[in-house]
Amino acid sequence: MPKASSINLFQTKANLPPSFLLWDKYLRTAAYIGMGLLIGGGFIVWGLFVVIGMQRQVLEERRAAATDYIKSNVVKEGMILALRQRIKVVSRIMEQQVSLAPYINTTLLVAQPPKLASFTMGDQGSVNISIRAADGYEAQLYVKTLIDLVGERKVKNPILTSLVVEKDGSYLMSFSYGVIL
Amino acid sequence: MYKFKRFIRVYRDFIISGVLIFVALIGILVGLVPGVRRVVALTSETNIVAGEVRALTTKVATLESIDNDTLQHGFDILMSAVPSEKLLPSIISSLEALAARQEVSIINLSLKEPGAIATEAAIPKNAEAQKVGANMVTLSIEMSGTVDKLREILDTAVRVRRFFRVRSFDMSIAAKTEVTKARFTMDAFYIPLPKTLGKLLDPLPPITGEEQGVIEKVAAYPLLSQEALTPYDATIPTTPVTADPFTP
Repeated sequence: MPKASSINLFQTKANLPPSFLLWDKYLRTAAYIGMGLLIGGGFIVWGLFVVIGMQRQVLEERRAAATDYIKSNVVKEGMILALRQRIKVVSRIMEQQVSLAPYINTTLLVAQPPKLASFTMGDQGSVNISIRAADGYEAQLYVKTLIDLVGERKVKNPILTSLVVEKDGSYLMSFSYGVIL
Repeated sequence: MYKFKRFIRVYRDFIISGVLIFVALIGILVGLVPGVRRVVALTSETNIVAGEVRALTTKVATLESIDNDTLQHGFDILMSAVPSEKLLPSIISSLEALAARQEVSIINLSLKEPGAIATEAAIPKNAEAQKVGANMVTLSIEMSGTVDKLREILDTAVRVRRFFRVRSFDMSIAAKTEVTKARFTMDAFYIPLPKTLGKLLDPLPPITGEEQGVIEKVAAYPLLSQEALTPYDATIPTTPVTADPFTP
């Protein structure tokens, strides 16, 4: 047993070189940082895992509920899809549903039955008509009427396609023209 | 033993720091890095689920926004204009009704290829049908009446249910009797219903005001034949689309 007056000269630490002491300081700091990173990071990661997991759980429940609702309304969904498909096509058909009545209206300005013998729709808005005229004077009137309608911008490009003088002196004339709508 | 104890005593701080660093490194590599990876993966999975939930919620909102009666009404109207099948009786009865309304008589009515034996999918669509997006039944009809009445037919034929398109028109007027005969070449339309639904996550946008406007416009057209009204319940697709078309 050492006496109270005795001095312990035994060195608890060896005399380390100063560079070792510097290393010791760095290693200790690195150890603190490493452990701090592990513990702090661990808590953060665990926290994020729990929070995101809970969010995921809520979303899964909402997804399941929405899926169930959609599956129980398949007939309604089918009707909406079919309705939308039909609306598109119906719109396209309606764009092409053009009344040809204005072509007849314009033609009736040229000649009325029974003088108007025939009417045929041609390509690209053209019309072919044939008119019976009692004599040359009346035939001339029909030609003049067509020319007047050109002036009124109701018809364009009128062409006399045929002219037949019948035995009784009447005329059968055929015209083709475009109708300006 | 003495040397070992002395080594421990001398390098104790080094050893403690070294062990702590080692434990931290192992902990980071074995625990933290995989944990971060799992969180990143979970986040991206959750984002995907969130996207799916958004899509499904929008779809649910669309389904909830339209009540069954309105939907059925709109569907009936469009089906009466453009049915899912040829429905030749409805074509004939609509034309008869049209003629009766204008007091003209039908002399002749002929249908081009009225009964195709092949299934709809096997029938090649011509350019016209592809342009319109609907199948067509082309018919030729000959009517007799006054010019004014036939002109009215020409005008109203494109504004009735079921839908017709006048492709060509010609008429001839007898000199003595003034009896006018007209020949119309017309198209009647039909569109088969879709066979399958989209995928669960496929968007289902609500019916827009513009689309509703089309339904209202069609509804304003007179329905000439009750035969144009077809039952729809059995024909609505309820089968989800499959990824592999050869899978039953």
